Amino acid sequence: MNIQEHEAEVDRNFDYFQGVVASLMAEHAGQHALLRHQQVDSFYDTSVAALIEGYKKFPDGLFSIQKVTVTPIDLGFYSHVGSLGHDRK
Amino acid sequence: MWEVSGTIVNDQAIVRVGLREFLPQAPAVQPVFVPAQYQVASYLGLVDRGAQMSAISHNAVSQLGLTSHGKLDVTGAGGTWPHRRYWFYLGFFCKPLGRPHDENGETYFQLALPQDAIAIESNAGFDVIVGMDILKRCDMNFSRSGEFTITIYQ
Repeated sequence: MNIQEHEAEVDRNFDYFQGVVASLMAEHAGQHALLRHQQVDSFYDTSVAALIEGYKKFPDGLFSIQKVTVTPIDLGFYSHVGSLGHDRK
Repeated sequence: MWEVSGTIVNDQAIVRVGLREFLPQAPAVQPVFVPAQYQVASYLGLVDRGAQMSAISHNAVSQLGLTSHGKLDVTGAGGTWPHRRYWFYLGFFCKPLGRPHDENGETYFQLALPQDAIAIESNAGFDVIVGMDILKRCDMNFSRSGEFTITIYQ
């Protein structure tokens, strides 16, 4: 599996998750969702727990982790500069 | 305890950090305490108490060959945009308080768990933002002389 293939899976999962995150807030706010093939597999209290479990369940690494939140992150000093290095895809 | 010290330059607190790729096969349950010659990639990190989460530059991501496992929305001057997330091991080059060290009095302390960080644009000043997700577990002290210390607790 190459990086492009992996990032495409992450992008597809992210797009899917944007559509369902609001419906997950009531029961899973603040948790980390493990996703594969545009489906939520399971929820974890920490992102590291989701990452480790993701590699156990999907050894090919083709999964992603999304935090159940609708609030964007503030990067402080760096949030106030012009170029943030976002993913432009 | 470990103590990271530095000097404020251009009103920025910069520290030397070490990064290492996260390997899912390796156990990740205990902090690693090793001498400073331990092989990690050394980068400069901006200590930023205003950052809710730590960050890593695209430059460091590329050099370490990291693979993203998700995205997070980040708000900034230009609006809110998704950024890729990466997990890796992060450590500090620091003084060990009551622990073995090398001839320069320095050692390397790696945080126990993989660090979750947001990718940011590369820049000349630093490759890592050490945010509140790490700093909330430390003591920090800034002095009028322009120096600072961060005490890390295991």
